[in-house]
Amino acid sequence: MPCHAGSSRRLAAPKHIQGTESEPPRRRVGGLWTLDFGLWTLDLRVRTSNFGLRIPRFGRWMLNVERWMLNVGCSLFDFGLLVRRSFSEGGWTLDFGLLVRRSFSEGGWTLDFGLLVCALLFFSCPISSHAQAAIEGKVALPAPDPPIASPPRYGGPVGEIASADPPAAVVYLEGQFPPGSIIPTNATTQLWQRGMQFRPALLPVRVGTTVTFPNGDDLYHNVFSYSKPKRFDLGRYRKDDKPAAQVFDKPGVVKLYCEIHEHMRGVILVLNTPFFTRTATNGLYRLDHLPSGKYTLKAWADEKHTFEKPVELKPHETLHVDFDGR
Amino acid sequence: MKRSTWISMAGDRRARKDTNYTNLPEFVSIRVIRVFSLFAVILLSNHCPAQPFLDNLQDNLKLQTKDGFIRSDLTVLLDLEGYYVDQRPPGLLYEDESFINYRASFFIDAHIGPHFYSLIQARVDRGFDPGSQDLDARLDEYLLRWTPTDDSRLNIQFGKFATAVGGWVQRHDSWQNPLITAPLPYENPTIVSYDDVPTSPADFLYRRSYPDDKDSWIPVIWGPVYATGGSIFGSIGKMDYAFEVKNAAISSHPDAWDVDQNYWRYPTFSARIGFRPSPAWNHGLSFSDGAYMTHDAAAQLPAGKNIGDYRQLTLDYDVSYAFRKWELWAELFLNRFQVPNVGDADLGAYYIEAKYKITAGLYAAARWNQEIFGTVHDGSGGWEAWDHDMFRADAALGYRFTRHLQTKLQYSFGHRNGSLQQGEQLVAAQVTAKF
Repeated sequence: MPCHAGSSRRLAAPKHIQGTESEPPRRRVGGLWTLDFGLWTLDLRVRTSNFGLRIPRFGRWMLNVERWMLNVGCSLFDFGLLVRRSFSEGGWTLDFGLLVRRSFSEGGWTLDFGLLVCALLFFSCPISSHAQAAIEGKVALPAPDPPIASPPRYGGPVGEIASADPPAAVVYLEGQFPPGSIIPTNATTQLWQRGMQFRPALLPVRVGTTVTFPNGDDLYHNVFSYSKPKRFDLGRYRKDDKPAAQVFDKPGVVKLYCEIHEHMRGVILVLNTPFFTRTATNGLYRLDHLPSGKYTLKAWADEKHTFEKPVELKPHETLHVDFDGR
Repeated sequence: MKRSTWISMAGDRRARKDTNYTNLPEFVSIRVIRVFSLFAVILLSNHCPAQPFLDNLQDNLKLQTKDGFIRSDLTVLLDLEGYYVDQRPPGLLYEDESFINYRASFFIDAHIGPHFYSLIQARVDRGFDPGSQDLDARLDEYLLRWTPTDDSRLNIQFGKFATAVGGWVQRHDSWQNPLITAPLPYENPTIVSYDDVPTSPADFLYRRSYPDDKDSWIPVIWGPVYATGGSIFGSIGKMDYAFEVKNAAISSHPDAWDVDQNYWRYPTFSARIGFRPSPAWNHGLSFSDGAYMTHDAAAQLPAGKNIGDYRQLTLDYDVSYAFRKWELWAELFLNRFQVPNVGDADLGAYYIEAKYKITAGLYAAARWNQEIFGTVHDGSGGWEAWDHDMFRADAALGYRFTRHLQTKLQYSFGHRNGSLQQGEQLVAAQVTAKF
């Protein structure tokens, strides 16, 4: 697949897409979609549950429905139309894309298609100055210890309480990142109440992220938090109600509770970095598309299980870092 | 009176009637206030490690075996209350002047396998109802519940536990009650006595001119009524049901709730049917029928009568609604006391209560209460209202600092017909710690 002839004109910073519950962290997959056509772009996101319009520096017109994405970008020099289909969700995404481009400066149309990896190489050319590294490893997770759910002392309905999410940790990179590698986010994500449990029980988000709290149960929930970074109380609401969305604009640990169901526990970890991921339930993680340099790698499972290690990332290298809980 | 579970550390309330009990030495109260204040300051400080400590403590008070077959959860409520009254204190406040009250409640919820549950509530306080009396330690509740199925359609329960009647019991503890005091029907003594039989209608009606005799007179329903007995209850779809047999009427004095009281000769039968058309609404219809007098009154009854011949019959409708920041509750009681030598003494009582969350921690609550009394034959050819109609308006502001600390400030204005008033104005403050 040929390298884009006009790529040097791009404002080449990679885009890091915020992880969400419906679209788990894809991190540098966003780098693939930086149809960074330079002088102006618009970014339109349409999903089944939200709609957004923004005009960021590296944005574009983007229609995102389920796993399909239609991406349109334009500048003085290029016009691109991209159709992408994602076949997986998770830290690593396998996508198939079809890209139609026209370079006004050179003339002619180009048709590109292929798997994600091909496209990644294609678009990586202009951002070689931010050559990317990766970290993988394993975090020793605490034993599951879900709170006891007691029946109502004085009678009343008891719904079926599902199992709480198994323990997981959030691994994130902190430090001074290269200029242009961090883009302010206004992402929106969801944290559900299902089976009288928070899903996910641990949600990492970037500062500035908007979180909604849909109720998936046939009874009332009342989500609240008295944590210092975010203090709120949504009141009682049921399925199909839309409680006020909350913007998490301060970094820190936000503990979530339900006023009606005392056993429910959730945590939103608000991070001041775009480089983070949630581990699998066996503790394995992988952070891709990281900028090279010296940073601190941190792992947060709960307040008793937080770890950090200094790391030095080199271009095109994958570092292996385990947090063994000691 | 036998007191098997009342472990009175300094005599009982009735004995105190004739003594100068202006209470615990003052230094004890001051010490309690100081300790509590220090505790509150620690809890309030966001920079203090007490916050995660109490979070951890609360979780660590939950114990279970490895396989989870046996689990227990200890919850502690610490209350410090202050009451200022401009006259004689209203309701079930047991003091003649402004006073400080404190209370420690310990709840142990235990599970044995998926089908057995037990609850123990032990309290250390200055009397079941607020006052400045000597220290008491009691088991207020203890129960064993068997749930034979995996859902909640059938529960069978024995022990000493709160009544199924009405809609206030579920939120009667200090952490959940938006106000400090109970609704009027749950705490306003009428002139009906459980141990003092009127000799005539005139004798009965003459009580109206006296201040409440809170050691003898009874309200429509005495708080959560932790009487002893058994119950069957459950939920099927949108319907709830409960049926219980207890040893004391819903209006009975706390002394009558213990298992060795009333000898089970005259049990009280109560039932409630609930309907929840949606998560927002909850309707309930309760009925109760029981003998409200104790054996202390038996010797005063007319010849050939026993205390089982004089019943309390109560019909209660409760409704609640919640949406977003609003919660609303209302109850309507229609009550009849069959009074010896007098006849049927009927009354209607209701309250409407609302709570609104202003911010994440701050809320406002208000309650309008009213009791309207029927008439009885006055013994000289006429009919008279057998007690003074009354209304009371309660308003409160509450603030939850954390999941472990909240405070409330309440103002109440009550007025009854006639010249005798009892605590027209009440200001109360309460600090509650929970972990």
